[in-house]
Amino acid sequence: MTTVAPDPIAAVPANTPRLTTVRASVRSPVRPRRSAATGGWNAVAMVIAGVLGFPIFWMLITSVKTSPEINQLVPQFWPHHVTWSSFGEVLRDPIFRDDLLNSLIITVATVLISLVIGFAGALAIARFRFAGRRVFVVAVLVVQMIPLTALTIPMALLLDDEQLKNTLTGVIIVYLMFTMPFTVWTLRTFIANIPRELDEAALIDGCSRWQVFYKIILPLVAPGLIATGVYSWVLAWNEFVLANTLLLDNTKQTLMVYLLQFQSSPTHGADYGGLMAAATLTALPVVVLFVIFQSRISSGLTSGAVKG
Amino acid sequence: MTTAGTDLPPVDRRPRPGRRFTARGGSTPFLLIVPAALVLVLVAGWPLVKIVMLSLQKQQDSKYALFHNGGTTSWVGLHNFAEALSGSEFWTVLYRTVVFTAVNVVLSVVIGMAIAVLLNRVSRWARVTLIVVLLFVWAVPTTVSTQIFAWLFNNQYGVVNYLLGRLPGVSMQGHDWFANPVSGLGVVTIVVVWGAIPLLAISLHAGITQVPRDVLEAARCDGAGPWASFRHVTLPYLRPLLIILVTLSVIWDFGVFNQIWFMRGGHPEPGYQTLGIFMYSTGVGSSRYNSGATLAILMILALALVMVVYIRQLFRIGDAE
Repeated sequence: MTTVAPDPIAAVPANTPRLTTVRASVRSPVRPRRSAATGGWNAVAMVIAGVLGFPIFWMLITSVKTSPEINQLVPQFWPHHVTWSSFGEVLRDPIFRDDLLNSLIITVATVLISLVIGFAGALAIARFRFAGRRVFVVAVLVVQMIPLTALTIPMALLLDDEQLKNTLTGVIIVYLMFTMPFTVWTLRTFIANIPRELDEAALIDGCSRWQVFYKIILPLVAPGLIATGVYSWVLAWNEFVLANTLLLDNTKQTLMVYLLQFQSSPTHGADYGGLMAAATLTALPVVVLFVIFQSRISSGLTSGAVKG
Repeated sequence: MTTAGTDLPPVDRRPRPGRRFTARGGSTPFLLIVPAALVLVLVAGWPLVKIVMLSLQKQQDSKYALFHNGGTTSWVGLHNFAEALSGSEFWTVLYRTVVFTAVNVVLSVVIGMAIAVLLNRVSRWARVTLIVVLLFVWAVPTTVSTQIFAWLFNNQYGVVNYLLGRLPGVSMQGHDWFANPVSGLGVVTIVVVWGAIPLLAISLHAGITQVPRDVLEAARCDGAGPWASFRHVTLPYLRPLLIILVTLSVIWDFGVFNQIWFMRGGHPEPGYQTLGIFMYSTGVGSSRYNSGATLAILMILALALVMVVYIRQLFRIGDAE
């Protein structure tokens, strides 16, 4: 049954950032004169990779430098004394631990809820034609496009009415506004790429609709579910404006808000080692997930993602 | 097909080839979209209605009375809009936002395209290396990247001032990039473009690999040089993808918030205010909800045209069908 691999990319024209496609183009015999220039282009590519990667490198080495090494007029491009004290300082901070836990709770809850709700909605628009389908599709797309900052005021007031301001529950509900449309839209692409003939064959063979769902669609969409889940994770983890507006106690905030307060607090103001350590720890959960799952994620992006 | 709300458009009942089994869903599709539709109404529809109401009202008493249902609120029609549009501050901020957006979109798309073309020319090892770097850059949260760049451009110990100072005849010691908002927003632009390049470069590169080889070959036989083939063959093929990427970039860059907010430590000076920041400072920072809501609506209206282009393009390429 799983022999038919869904290709979620086919629906999105010209959007296949997969290394497999990349490989195919290397061996094409189109440009015989290319080899001479290739060396030069390779060098240009490496310079660009170096420039683009430098900020990340600088964050990492700053986080393991000692304080005197950081505050030098002539910066050191490789640390002489590697120290983990900046990481220790951040990890020992009870507020960091609270905020890490809050970020995890909010992100996990948001991702799971939006996957379940979004999958149902995606199934409806990918597999059924019904009254109001187009209205629903346009609503999903429009909501995805509305800048989050524009809705902070009414959201703060509405959550206050419902006694949900300054609670993680309130933030989780509000985060569905941007993760759920994204899951609907991305999963729709994955489901639409499973050939309908499979559904029909199963129905002819006597499967019920429910059986078609969990014997055919669910296994084939599983990679799409993982990819969508990972990218929703990134969206929710990285969100700052709403968290900053809706969560008031520093024990209830998220890591993004922690980062801002770390930078502007008088005790940590010039502590770039600590700041870079905190930044590294904040970025780690998304960078790791993203780089592992990237090949599956990219397809959904230009078909209507919103980057926080 | 069950009867749905009267406000819905008429159902297309024509049988569609190959869709006979999936078309007859009965009430199933409606049950499936109920949770998603509820979420849309509750967390997007309701706030949108609320924001429109706020923009048409004026809070009379203490600004804090809006919470806890205190104070008197009166309907003032379009007074808030007239007030916002008649002030010079709004137009200055809007102008700054438009220029900022234009510079960011153009730089991101041009650099992204250049890297995409480059990825198509290099050896496999170089391509894989560059793509991996791009993925790491892509994954870094904007909040984190802003703090990295704030540190890189630090006036005392920043590595950028050090490296520029090494150039002959340049003295950058202690140079404060953020004293002047224009140069400060220039640094913000670098952060935004840095973060935007990976998505653009990787999608455009994938698009370029799908341009048919025989068409490029034919162009070459007809005497087209590299630039002519790019301009007249590759670019037209990339057009649908480019429209989507450019509209998305406009929407994202118009709404840039974290990069400016973090770069100024949560207190952006007037010269750093783009529409989103201005709205947030007015509405949330100073608790002037009515004025803030008005600005938020103006911000959404300014983007509405771009959203229409984006959604029409999605329908046109059949992705939304």
